[in-house]
Amino acid sequence: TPRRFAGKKMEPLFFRVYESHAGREAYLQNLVVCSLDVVEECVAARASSGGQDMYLGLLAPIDAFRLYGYATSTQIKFIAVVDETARHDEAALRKFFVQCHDAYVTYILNPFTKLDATQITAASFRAKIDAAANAHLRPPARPPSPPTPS
Amino acid sequence: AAISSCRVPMGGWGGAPVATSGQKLPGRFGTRRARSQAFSRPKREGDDMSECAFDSFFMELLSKSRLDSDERTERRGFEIGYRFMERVIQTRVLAMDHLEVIKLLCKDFWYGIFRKQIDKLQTNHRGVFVLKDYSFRWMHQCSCGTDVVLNKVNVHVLQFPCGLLRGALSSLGLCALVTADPPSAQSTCSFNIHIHHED
Repeated sequence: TPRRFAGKKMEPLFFRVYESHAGREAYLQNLVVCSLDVVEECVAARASSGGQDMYLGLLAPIDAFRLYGYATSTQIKFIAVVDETARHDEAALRKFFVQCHDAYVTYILNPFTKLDATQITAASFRAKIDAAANAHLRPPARPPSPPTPS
Repeated sequence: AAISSCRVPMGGWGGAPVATSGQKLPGRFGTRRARSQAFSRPKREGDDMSECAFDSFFMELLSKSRLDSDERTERRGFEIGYRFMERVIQTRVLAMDHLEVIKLLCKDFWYGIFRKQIDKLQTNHRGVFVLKDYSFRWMHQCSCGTDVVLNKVNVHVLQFPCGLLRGALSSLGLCALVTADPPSAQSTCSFNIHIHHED
């Protein structure tokens, strides 16, 4: 049950909570803001080591959640907060972030969007993020229990 | 301060030139250089815009704007450059060394818009860069000379690409001042980029 966040300055441009965590937006947003420091550190480390990876990996485990980050060259950061119990492999997270990034680029290429907007409210953007989350971050379905013998 | 000149290597995009969707243009725009060129980069449908359509549009834009509204023309260029840079840099991490950023502008960014790279890059290694394009597409039909009014027109036209460059830099988080020198020769343009250092 993931949650996604994109932001350039301190306030998020986009914030989305899924499923059972719907009531905890403020708390989750707080988590994300706290993790921004870690993101900055990762970006600085990447810059000094000449790394080529936009995916930052696991930022921090906090409480019952794990935070993963992705930072583009244009100062946009994506942070995904997932349940500790959901084991996502790196490939799935990478694909998720790449799709989110693509959604953002498509959004910003639209000349009718404001460059200094503080919120992304486009329905198509939200739909793309939802699709990416569904495709890559959905917890695996439990296998059906074997039929009980009669 | 000494200015050192470094040639921007031309071979970065795999050599073979580009196929565009253009037909043979009617006489009004003159004959363009061969458009029947192919390149190896995979193209997406609708990636290219008809060149003559853009030229007409750009001419109208300029004729409607007054000569003293340089800022508005520059602002339009800024928005476009800002947005386009997101696409240009989508698949790579950029080292934030200023020279690397400017090289990106000269190669990928300029190529993405004009299908050619900047012809010459000079820098004084202290945040000032001069980009020269010897066959700038939008100035093919400009007249240049010592006429003051004509120079003003030319500089006004060049505000748009100045804005493109400033927008691209801003997208990467760099604050810069971009100006253009009045062209001294046919379709030759020179852009001066002065990157501001964070205080």
